[in-house]
Amino acid sequence: MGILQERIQLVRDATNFKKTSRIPTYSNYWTYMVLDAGYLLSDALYDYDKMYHAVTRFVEKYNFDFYNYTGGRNPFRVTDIFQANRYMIDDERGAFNIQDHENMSGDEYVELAKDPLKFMWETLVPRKAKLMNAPNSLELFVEAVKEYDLYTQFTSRVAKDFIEKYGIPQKSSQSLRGPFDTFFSHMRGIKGLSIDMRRNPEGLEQGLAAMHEYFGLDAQTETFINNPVGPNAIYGGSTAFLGHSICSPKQFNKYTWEPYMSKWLDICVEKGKQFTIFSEAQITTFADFFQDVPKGVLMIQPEQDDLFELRKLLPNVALCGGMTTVSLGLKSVGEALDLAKKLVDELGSNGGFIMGQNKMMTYRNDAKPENILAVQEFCEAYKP
Amino acid sequence: MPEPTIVLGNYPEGYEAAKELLSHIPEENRDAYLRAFLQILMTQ
Repeated sequence: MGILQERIQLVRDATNFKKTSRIPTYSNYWTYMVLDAGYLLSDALYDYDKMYHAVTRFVEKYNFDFYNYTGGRNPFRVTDIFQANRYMIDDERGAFNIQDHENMSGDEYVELAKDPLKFMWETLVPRKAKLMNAPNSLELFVEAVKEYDLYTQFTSRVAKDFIEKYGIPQKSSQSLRGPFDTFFSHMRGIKGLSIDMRRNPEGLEQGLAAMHEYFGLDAQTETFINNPVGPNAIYGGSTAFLGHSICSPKQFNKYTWEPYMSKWLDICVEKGKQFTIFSEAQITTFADFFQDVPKGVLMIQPEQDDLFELRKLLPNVALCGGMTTVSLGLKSVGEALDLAKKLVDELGSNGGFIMGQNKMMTYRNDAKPENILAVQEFCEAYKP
Repeated sequence: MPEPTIVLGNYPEGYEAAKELLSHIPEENRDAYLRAFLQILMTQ
């Protein structure tokens, strides 16, 4: 069995609570890869050769089994053409940040629902991409298309080399997202959406229904039902939770669980697929929803949750993560390994655990290279 | 009276003009391409 298939089976078995020959490892390292390679963010984010080098160097150095980030986020060379870039790069701190923003107002749901493509093309996106209405915008579009095609060539190159050169599987065959997170991250923002849930739930429902249609979510669900898991992928499906962070359990049920998450998990149970959730903020508040998911179907990668407490609430759900920025970035190798051993012994002695990091690893100080390497070597050798 | 300039942000005129500029993309894929492009501008 080649390394690719070996990794796929290893992670699936761990998700299925089977004892494995070693502990699988997952990289939640993002722009840290760029800094670890010695590049400035403003260099690598605009130079695909440098980004390719940063990503592949990280892969060769640390040798994780699968990855959340493969260099393709933030195509600034495309968005800059229309002045659509809201990120602020701070090369001195080795960071880039984005502020909470609204691209649509709370009284625009009716207009959105009437024709989502027209609304987004003519109103929403030009608020962000300011030059879409410039006199030379069509010339800018020609430039942007060339940049977009270079960007997709870069992401395709990485995707191909991950599989063929490095034997690294894709996380899942199909990424599925409900529209609530799109409103949270890109349309109404944190504050706007929080207000809408309380003061304009009918408008929000209209908007969600319109975006469900726009994104073709019924067709995506059909694909999820009918298509087998791809040969290079670990999980059948994956999603990310961001908007849940402003929801009560009742709101989570209304906007995410009932219309989408529960259905995807039902499909997994019926079709023998596995599913993974990348959950930012914390998911413990919503643990009840996942209690009846059959063991072996679901893996959750939490961020702020205490994994040991989460395991008590969800003994049926495989967990991924656990290594904190404190342990990786501030502690000694020995202290980092103490945590790694505790994680494996208490969460993964009979499968059910994948070693990872508790946040999107971004800053230089989030981890010391020697700590990353030590934990990787530990996972390779340790038999709980 | 001169014709108003079409800008990318007009719909449907700007959208259709953009489609015409995608000569390297098969016609049946151009709507999907523009939606993906719009998604990049909106989300990144």
